[in-house]
Amino acid sequence: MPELDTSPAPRMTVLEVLKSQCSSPQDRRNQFRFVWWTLGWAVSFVAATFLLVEEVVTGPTRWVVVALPALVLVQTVRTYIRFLRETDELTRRIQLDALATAFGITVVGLMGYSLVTVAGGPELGVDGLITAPMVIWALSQFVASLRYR
Amino acid sequence: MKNRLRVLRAERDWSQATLAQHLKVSRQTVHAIESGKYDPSLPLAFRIARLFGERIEDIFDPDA
Repeated sequence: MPELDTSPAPRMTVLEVLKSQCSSPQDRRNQFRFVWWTLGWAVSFVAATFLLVEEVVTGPTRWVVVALPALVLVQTVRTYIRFLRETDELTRRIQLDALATAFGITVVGLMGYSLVTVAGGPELGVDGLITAPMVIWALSQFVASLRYR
Repeated sequence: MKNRLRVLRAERDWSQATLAQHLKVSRQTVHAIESGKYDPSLPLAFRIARLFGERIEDIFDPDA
């Protein structure tokens, strides 16, 4: 009888880790929905900004334009929560690790940033304040997934 | 937590991907459990035990 290979498995490569996540049809479907809603939010945000800055819409309609991206974002968050609830348990752990890390870094960063602006440092602007936490979240996901390879 | 998952899988000549399919989890989950980096939830531990026809405590050793 051949001897069993029970030596420790080598570390997964980064590519293997990325391939392994969201491998079930349900995960792929949920992730697909999340990506599309995120893109929808980005498009609605840019469109709303254009309509408001160029004053294409006036009067009470402006408030509808303001509300529309927020409504799309609410649905985006709902699709992410659904993905989180239905995904593989290690992927959920990785996502929660990443969310906690990103939240912590964002809070600490914003506190530090508020002092920087008081001290006369450069201002990031609203775009930067929206983008920075998202980039931190994406990086946190990558780092968290490497922890379990 | 140490476990015998890799041995049990090797006895059946299954790849990590095959075991992952049986358990309905990702390959990374199987890999992380085998290498002791991740402890499975109780429902997953039961699924593993049932799949191999063993008791949970015969597969996972909390004292190791």
